[in-house]
Amino acid sequence: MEQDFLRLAQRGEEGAINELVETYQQSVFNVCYRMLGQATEAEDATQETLVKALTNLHSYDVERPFKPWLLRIASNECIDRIRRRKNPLSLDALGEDGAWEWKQGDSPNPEAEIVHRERRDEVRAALDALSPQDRAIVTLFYWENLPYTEIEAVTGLSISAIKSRLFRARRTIAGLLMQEDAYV
Amino acid sequence: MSRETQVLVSDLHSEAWWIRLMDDEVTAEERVRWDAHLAHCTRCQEEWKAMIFADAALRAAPAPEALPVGFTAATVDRIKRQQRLRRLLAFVAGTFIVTLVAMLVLALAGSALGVVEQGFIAVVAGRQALFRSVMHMVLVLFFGWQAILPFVLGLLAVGYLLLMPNGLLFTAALIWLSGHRRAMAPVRS
Ligand SMILES: [Zn+2]
Repeated sequence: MEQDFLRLAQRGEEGAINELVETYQQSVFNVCYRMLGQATEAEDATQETLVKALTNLHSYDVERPFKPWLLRIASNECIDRIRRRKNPLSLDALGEDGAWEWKQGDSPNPEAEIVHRERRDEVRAALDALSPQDRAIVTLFYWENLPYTEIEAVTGLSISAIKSRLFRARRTIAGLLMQEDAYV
Repeated sequence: MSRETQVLVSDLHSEAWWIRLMDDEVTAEERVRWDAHLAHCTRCQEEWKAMIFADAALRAAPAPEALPVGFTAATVDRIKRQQRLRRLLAFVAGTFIVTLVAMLVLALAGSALGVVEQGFIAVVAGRQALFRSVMHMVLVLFFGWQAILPFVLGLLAVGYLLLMPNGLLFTAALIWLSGHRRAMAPVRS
């Protein structure tokens, strides 16, 4: 079924392209949002990923699973953006607008919202401490629930390397979260 | 502490063990051994608590908000535009290559035909071709004599110097002959 859509999309069929975008946009956005921590930039990265993927379908093997291929493009896009951000000459580093936006008054339960926000900020800060690639691994494992074999397909790393990196990333995050917790 | 226990503890403090533990890939027997160790090792208790806390925090992290309305349409529109651009570029590149190849083929065919035609002219109208080439030479000499004059004069001068009765070659030949004759002459007493 999906392969039919992919074949049609390769031929430029609009309905198939629409279907693929609708099916995968939220997954791609979730990964970009976790990796970049910013809704506006994550939206840009998501669109860029989908445009790159669907205009380069000729370089994709229809017989292989599509999602890891797509998420690989997404994580590479995010890693590039994070690296560009770290470059002091990059204009991207200047605007941090909309980072983990806090919309006051949106929630019917402000206290729960504060706890929710604090937890989100803690996890966000802990993720920021990781390298872009480790951030991608944590994102794919925890929030996309991908098995190791699919993370391997996305990152190009061996399963043992992924396990080791994931463990060290968890330990870093644990250290930071426990530190935060000690202050609360 | 026995040697066996020491090996066991270092094993339980290894990264490989912790990875298996976090992935829940340990056997029932190993689990018993682990629980017994955890009961008295403060280092592992702290690490385990931190890992469980981090794991729970990561799993509980709130999901990102949904994409804005119109995102799909805007993305599909961009993809279509990009695909159109690619098709246009492919068409232009294809046309360029086809034109280039066609020009090359025509040029080769044209020159081949030209050679055949020249041969035909030479055979059938040989006299005409000869007359034309002679006329061509006459015209070159008539209009271009100034250009070849220094060359002709130089050629004449070299010829004169070498070959005329007082020329270099002639003189050298005379000297050589007289010397040779002298050497060949019987020794005079
Ligand atoms: Zn221990």
